[in-house]
Amino acid sequence: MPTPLLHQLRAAVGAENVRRGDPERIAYSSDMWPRHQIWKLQGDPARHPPDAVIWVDDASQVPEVHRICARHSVPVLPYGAGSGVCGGTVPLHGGVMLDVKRLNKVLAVDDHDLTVTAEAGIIGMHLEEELVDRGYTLGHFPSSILCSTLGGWLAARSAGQFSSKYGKIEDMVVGLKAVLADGTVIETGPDQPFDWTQIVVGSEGTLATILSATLRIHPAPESRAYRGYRFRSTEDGIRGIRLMMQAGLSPHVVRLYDPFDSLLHSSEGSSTGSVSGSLLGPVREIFMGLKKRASRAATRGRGRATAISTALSYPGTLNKLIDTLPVSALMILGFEGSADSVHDDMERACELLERAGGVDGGEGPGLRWEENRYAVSFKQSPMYEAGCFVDTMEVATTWSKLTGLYREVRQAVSPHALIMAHFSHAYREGCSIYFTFASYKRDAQALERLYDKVWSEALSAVVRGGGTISHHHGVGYSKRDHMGREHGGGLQLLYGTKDALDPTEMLNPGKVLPDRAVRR
Amino acid sequence: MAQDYTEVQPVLDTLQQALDEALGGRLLVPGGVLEVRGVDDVRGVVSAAHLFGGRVVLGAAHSGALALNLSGLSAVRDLDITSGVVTAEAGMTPAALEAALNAEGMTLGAGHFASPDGSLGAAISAGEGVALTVSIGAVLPDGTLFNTPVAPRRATGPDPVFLLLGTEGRLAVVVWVTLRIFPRAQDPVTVAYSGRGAALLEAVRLAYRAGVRPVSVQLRKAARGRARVTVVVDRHDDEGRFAQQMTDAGAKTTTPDDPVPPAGRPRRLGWRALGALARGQKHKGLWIGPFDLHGGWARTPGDAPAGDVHLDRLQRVVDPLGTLRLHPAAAEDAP
Repeated sequence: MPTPLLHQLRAAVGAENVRRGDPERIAYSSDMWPRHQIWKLQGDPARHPPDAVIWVDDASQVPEVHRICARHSVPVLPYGAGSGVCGGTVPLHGGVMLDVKRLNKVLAVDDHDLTVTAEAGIIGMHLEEELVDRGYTLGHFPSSILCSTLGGWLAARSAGQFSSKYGKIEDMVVGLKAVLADGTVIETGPDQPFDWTQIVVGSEGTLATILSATLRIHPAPESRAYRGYRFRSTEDGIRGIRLMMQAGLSPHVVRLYDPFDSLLHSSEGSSTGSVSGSLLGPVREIFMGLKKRASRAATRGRGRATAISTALSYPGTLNKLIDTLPVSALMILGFEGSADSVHDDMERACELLERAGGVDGGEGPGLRWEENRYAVSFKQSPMYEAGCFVDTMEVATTWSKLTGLYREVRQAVSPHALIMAHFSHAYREGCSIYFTFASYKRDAQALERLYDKVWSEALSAVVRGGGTISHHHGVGYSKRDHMGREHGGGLQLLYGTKDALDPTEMLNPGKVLPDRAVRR
Repeated sequence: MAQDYTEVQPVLDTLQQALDEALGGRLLVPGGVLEVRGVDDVRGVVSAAHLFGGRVVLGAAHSGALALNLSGLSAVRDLDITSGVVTAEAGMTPAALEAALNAEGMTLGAGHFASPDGSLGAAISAGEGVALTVSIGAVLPDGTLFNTPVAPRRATGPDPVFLLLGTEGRLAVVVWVTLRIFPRAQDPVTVAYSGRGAALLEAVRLAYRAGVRPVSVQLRKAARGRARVTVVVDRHDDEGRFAQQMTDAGAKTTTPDDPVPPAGRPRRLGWRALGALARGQKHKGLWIGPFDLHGGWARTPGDAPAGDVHLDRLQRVVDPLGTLRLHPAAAEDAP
């Protein structure tokens, strides 16, 4: 990194806020993309370290940082909390990691318009807590809420667990303030000649560094209720969700687990003495480790590790075995709002679900889910240490294609990895499917090849099934080479936007869009 | 200035040859209008123009440009009632699409399109129907056909839909659009109120704040600060609660009409900004609707999008040769 550049950065943000030591460079070389775990197994804990990490204390410093880096042709990677799971912040070409977490203030709450304006680096839960103190909620509760920022949510088009009522982050945002590559500050929103909001949103730091955003908020709910439902088949459950959404109901939570996922939820907290229970015990441990709390103890011990690896060595057989189990599909349903509306909406929903063949299972499953809803995959390391990989893929499509998409992906992945799914984030016109898959190879190189194969087969199946390759995790580095199949000729518009706003490709290079050489 | 084809006869000849090939011998000359039969016609003409320095406009004949009349693109490509979406071609009118949907028990809902007899493509290019649009099919300046992904939501980069909605065809020719549709109300009740614009708007805000969720609400501003609110409700409790808010605001019931929004770029604004519009002396003919908890979509007649330096730059990148001059007036400014 050129000395003049360092001097200028130190002058811009303070010498103490520019770090080039190994701890920082290693820490910022990875986000929550599971491939990093495989690289670590291969003895490569920081494959793509940045040249420097800098912190800004004030939003006014960001344009100058951009200008300095532009003069020296050095990449800039806006960085929030690093909770992305697609390699979106991996510094492929080195450069400067621009950590904005200190831009963490709530700037305004508008009681008349019901909006909040906050800086991009604020941690999600802190933002929500500030709103709750004032009698509001944002309604955005991703499972990463403890370790993700507002800017990151916007950058990757995040979805929260309550999105069926409150929408995704792009539905909430009114406008934002951001810095383009050349240091120009733009404000977006409906009062601008052209509203760039939905272009900057989802750009994952490749078009601008987001400084702050204004979002719609809601009065805090006074009441909340849950209900669990059982369906004979996943298809019946899907129909139930569709009937509710198209009747105009907006449950804050609706999650339908496929039979395997339902089995794991059912056996949660109970001992499984059955044949299927003992066969699936290690598998359950893996997945519940992800869903709840993957303690290191879960994988400690040779016997247990062997059981897990043995189970995952034959994913095709295991998937077929699971298909034969007589398990129903579990749905968790919740409404929140005024006491009256919760009561009325729940009553209407129950009617519709029963019409779809659902059987009421009481409030227990919903309450259990709520208790564990922030236990997320950042606790996945022990699985990798056992030689397994575990990853998730969130896709979406319209209702008429949803079952076909589910089957297509399951069929494509089943020979290579254990797979299960749940359906959540429902809309009038369709729904998201959240797949979880796991597999095992003794050798870390072979594990990476298998990982690539599973992803390639899965994403190809998504395209064949008419789905979008990402509903809320974003594209990052891991899915960028599939963007051509997602957007077709429309990719030209996205390249054009990059060329218009960041012609030297300074901002987060190599992300979201395929390399142009590949494209051509 | 528009391209003068008489001075570039060799290029013109080659362009004509390319057009002949694209259109299978159907005649199109600069200054003429092609009645488009299908999307392939659009692709053929745009790509030929792109290759040989031609200009393409939509609608009426224009000196020196190839004009396309898209009214022949008037089919419903796909009606997916299960998913609640319809894909209709750009030359179809909102009125014709609504009629086709009504026959299936579905509707687009009220207030999304200014001109029932205009074309969907023009409306989308003008930024109408934002709340309904799921996906757009379009032809780029080099003739590439694409459509944005059809999914309820996605996280695959910036949303290209928002590069096509409201950009007046500067980046692509819209050839079809996928829109959200809704079951027609079971037992709709339409009521209209008149009163002071700002007071009516505040009453609408309070109604939404109180949890009332009408099928549709539209506010139309008339002269001297007066306004009319037309509301459609499908549940009797909502009707009563909405009426109470209107009464408290001093509104009087009046005869419902079937208003159509004015042409103009719809902008989704918060209550404060809407209030300023409602109180202002300007903006006669202001239209607001649909509404939601956080505000509504406002149209003010003649509110055309102003220039944006970054959008201009994007247009130069996407259409470096200036092939698309989709509106005859814009064609005059072509390089």
